[in-house]
Amino acid sequence: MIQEIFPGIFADNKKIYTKDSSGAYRLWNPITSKLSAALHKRLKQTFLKANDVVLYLGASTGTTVSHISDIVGEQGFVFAVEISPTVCRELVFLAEERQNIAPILADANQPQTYADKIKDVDWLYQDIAQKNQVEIFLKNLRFVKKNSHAFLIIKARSIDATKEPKQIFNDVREQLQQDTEIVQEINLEPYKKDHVMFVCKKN
Amino acid sequence: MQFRQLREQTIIETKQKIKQSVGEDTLIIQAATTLETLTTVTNTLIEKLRMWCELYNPEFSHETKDNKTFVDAIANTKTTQKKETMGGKLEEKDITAIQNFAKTIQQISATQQEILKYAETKLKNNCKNILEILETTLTAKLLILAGSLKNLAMMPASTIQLLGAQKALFKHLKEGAKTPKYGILATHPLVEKASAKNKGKTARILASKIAIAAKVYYFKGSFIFDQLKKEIKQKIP
Repeated sequence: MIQEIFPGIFADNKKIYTKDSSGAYRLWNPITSKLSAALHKRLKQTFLKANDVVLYLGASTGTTVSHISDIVGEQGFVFAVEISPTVCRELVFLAEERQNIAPILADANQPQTYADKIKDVDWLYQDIAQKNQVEIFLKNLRFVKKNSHAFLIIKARSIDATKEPKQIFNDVREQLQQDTEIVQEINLEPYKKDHVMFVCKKN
Repeated sequence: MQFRQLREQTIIETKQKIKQSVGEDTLIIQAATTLETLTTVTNTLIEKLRMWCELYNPEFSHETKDNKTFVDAIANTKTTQKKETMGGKLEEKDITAIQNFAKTIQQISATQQEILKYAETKLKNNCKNILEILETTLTAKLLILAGSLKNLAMMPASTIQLLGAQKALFKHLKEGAKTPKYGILATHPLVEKASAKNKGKTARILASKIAIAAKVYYFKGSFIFDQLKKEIKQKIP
């Protein structure tokens, strides 16, 4: 029995789906997508609904992007930023298929390079494995409307492979609390090792 | 829809950027990674061929240690069984199957040689400074690890020295194991020849000269390998 658990997101017993434009359910794999993993780990709220404008940093080949594009629907829009030309090719093909994705080949560490294209973002999602991932997140927070929500996935190994992940997450939490209010924090075990998703609300 | 024009524009722009990202670098690295894969693949295939062939003629496989002569012999001529062979009785079509497989391996090896030549000329045109210090395969491996010529030029010598030793490096940082002395450079003839005590030193000298070579070529485009080679000779203990 499939039920709608959040706007645009459906679930039966143990699996999560989104609905594409033809109305068919598409399975959302928690192993290939960290947002799906968070949903499996009892994310309280997605804060994402139809017609939203989304900024997605670290889009890669666009697996998660395609599901978010399903959720926001034809009236919504997704800006997908990716730095590597190799995986961006796949993303361009996806954007050509779907009317609500704009692929941007740029470095998320330098938001000024794509600032002219982006405005009024309702929802920010960042999944970048870089040493300064928190800094990148705070830089890009300026695109987001006030009181909107932003999702940040922290990969502890990228920040410092030698420190305890718990210690790193504590540091990140402190850094985030200066500019945002943390709504929820989810450890993505067993789907991803040493990953934590922070759900933030912009002050 | 408000974003329609913007979307079309970004798609065109991104396509253009992806198009421009293809350069000599990417071609070299693609050739180098293909070479690496081909080497491992041919080794596995030859192993398979030997196992197959040993059903029929184990003595011949035992006598011919060299892989190339072994594959050529199987592909070109029908090997005959010895009188007191351990091999089983095979039909004509079984032997032809083995022979065809050997021919495929021959073709793959030929392609490998072609790609090696292609990579060599590419490297000569693009990073002669490094190529003169290391040889082709090592240069290619170093480039794969670095990612691109630009990355290699930006790297400090200490990073180049440890390229390919990431696992040992993190073990050192995390668990306090001994510091690694060399990564991929361990396969360089000079490092291989050096005594155990001097291996680290040699790797360090090589790495520092490679760093200079990469930087000079990338930012200036001039060749200084003669001087660098001389310096390496002088400094190596």
